[in-house]
Amino acid sequence: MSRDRDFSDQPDNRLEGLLRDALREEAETVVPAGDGLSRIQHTVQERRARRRWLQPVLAVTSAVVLVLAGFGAYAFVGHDRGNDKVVLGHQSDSPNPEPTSAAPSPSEAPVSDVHFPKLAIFPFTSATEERNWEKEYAAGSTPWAADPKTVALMWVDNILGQPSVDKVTGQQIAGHRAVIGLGRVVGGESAQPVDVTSVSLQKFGNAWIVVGADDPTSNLTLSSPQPHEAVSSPLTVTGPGFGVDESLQVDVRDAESPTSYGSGRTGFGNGTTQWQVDVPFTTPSKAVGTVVAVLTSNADGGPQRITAQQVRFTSTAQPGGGTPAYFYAVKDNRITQFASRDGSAIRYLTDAQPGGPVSDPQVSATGDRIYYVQGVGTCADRLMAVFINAPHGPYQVTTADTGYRIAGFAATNKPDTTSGNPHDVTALFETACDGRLSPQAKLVTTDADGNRHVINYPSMPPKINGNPSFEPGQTVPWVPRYLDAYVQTGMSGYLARYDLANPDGPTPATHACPGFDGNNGEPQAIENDASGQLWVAIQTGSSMDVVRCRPNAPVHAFTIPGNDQPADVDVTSDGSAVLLTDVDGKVWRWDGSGSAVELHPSVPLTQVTW
Amino acid sequence: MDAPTRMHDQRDADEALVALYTTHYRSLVRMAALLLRDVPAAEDVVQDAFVAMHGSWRRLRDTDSALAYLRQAVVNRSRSRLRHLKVVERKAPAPMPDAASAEHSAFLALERGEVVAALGRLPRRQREVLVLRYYSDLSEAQIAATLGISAGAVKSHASRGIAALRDTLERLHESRP
Repeated sequence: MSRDRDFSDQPDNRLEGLLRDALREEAETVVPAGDGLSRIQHTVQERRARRRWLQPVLAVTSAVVLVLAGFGAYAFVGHDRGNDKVVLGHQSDSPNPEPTSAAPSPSEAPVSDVHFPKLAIFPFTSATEERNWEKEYAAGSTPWAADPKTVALMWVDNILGQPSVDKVTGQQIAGHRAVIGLGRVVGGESAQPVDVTSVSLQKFGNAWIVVGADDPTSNLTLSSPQPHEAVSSPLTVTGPGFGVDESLQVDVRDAESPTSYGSGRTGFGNGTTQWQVDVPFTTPSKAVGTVVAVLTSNADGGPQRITAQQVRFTSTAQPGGGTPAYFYAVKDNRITQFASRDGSAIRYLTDAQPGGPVSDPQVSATGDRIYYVQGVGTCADRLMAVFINAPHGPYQVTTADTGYRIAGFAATNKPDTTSGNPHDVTALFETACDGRLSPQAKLVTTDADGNRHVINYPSMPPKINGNPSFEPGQTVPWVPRYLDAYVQTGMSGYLARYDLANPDGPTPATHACPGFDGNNGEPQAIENDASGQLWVAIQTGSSMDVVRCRPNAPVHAFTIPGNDQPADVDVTSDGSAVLLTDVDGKVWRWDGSGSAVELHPSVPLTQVTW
Repeated sequence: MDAPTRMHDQRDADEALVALYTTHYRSLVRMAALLLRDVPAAEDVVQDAFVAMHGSWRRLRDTDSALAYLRQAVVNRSRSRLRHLKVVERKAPAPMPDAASAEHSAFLALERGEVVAALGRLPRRQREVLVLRYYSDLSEAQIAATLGISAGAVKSHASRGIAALRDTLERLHESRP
């Protein structure tokens, strides 16, 4: 850009600097919804389909034109479904006759690499997945095959959670292999990007598949585990030391989603010959994952080097059997890890917290930290978080507004811990400490960029009972659009769905669990799983029931007989296991089928999470 | 055009669309949002611009031309959207005279949100020039091409815009306790 050469006759540099900073800061708050490409492609597809219809209409005007148009239509449509690497739409609605000579369909296209890459990470980890995608791709129902640059950028941004690494700094594409250099800009948008990682890809069929990423300087390498090695928790990750005062985070992640199963941190340098990080991780639901090492820049806290490789998990949670090994609750006013097997306490994650009781622990969407409220019931309470596997202590996420206390909360986070900014996304239901204060309550949501949205409750009821729960965002989990809550409107209430983009007051018209019959019992606790399915704990009078809502009518999951009152329900991200507590502190575990099992922790636990 | 050529064009257009989307979609939405002050509308405008660019790919052929086309389409469509809403010119103050600043340092005390708000009250052309200049980092010639005006007009709008902004911010600063 030539901005320094132009406008040189306009002094007032300070105002210009302020304007530039203000615009950039304002722009940073704008986060596109993420479905832009699919919406554009859909429109393009519709236009193309309309154009296909035009040809036969024109053709009837002349016999000669008919012949030519028919031939043209065949050539156009036939070749579209054949050789194009980029296929936009379903072609079967074409008014043109089927081609008589076959151009190869995408699913029949020559396979660039006969063998599926052994080290495949993203977007497919098996040939079957890729083949299934090819079939959908041929039918036009999925976006087209992307080029290796796009795949590499998408992987680093959406799967590794490193959106700042968004510049292509180099590329080598030879046959069915590609290496894409990616970097980020440090110190202003006009600066040259610095190299952060080199993403290796292989082509199989029509897909480019990430098979690993390396530090372009070859300093950050992994000695163990080896690529494709079978690993189990806790995983010891090692590599040769280098540099001065280096800060490293290692994650064990799902290969095809932003899920982190566990993470660990270490510092090294100053002559260290080898670094080592122990990474305990929850039982994955898939067989293939990724070990990702991110070195943090001392300059700005952003990612400096990224190395990633595929690993296989020796034990994986099967559908219906995905019970995590641990859950978390409060013991001795400390966030504590418990064994899911029997409820025995394992270790403390925090010291005894000051300022009053601690309550409501909730594991974050990324699984690496636990949110909780410190000083419950006081007007100096705070929403805190502590990392499960990191050495540093708790940090304050947010507080209620002055004069209010936290009566319930939901929290999630953007998976970007390397920048030092935790990017917490919160919803606080705040009630006034003083009965004369107006409004009497408010629902305050804060997104990952710190933007606040407030819904006021002039008086109560209506009010939110218990904790609300974010539905995961449609594109990425940390940009939720909907918040579910049990709203008490008087003597009774309903499961409400707040549209955070278009709030319609404290009693939204939309129900979070369509078809739910409140006559069967009153909801006492709710929780969304990662697919956006809402789980509800109900007190029926003769039992505690747990049901799951969406996409269809509520479905009963399990029952605990007896006239107990549910206190908390917590579900694993894949919905395969549930914890339920009652107000007396009894805890039950449900493993996806059959009856729930009562656990026997040494202390009553009313609030649990996993 | 023969079928193979058309097919090749389509493939190029599709690939260019994905490449340009990956690289520029976010910054274009942000630029449009600065012009419109409405993020959903900004996304609509930019998506429409991408569709139009895809349809015009045969004329554009390369990504540099396509990016210039996208910028121009986004600005034009943002302008149309604002015109449709009939708010921008009604709310815009009269152009400010070029005046020397007395208290530059005062600006630093102001919140950046106030700067953006003040920018939003500028006449449309001035706002467009300042956004393209100070957010998109375009050169004078690029801004002229994007807006379809002369380089001299760009310079004039920029100068008047900065002067108006300065005046607004100084008045805001003086009005504070």
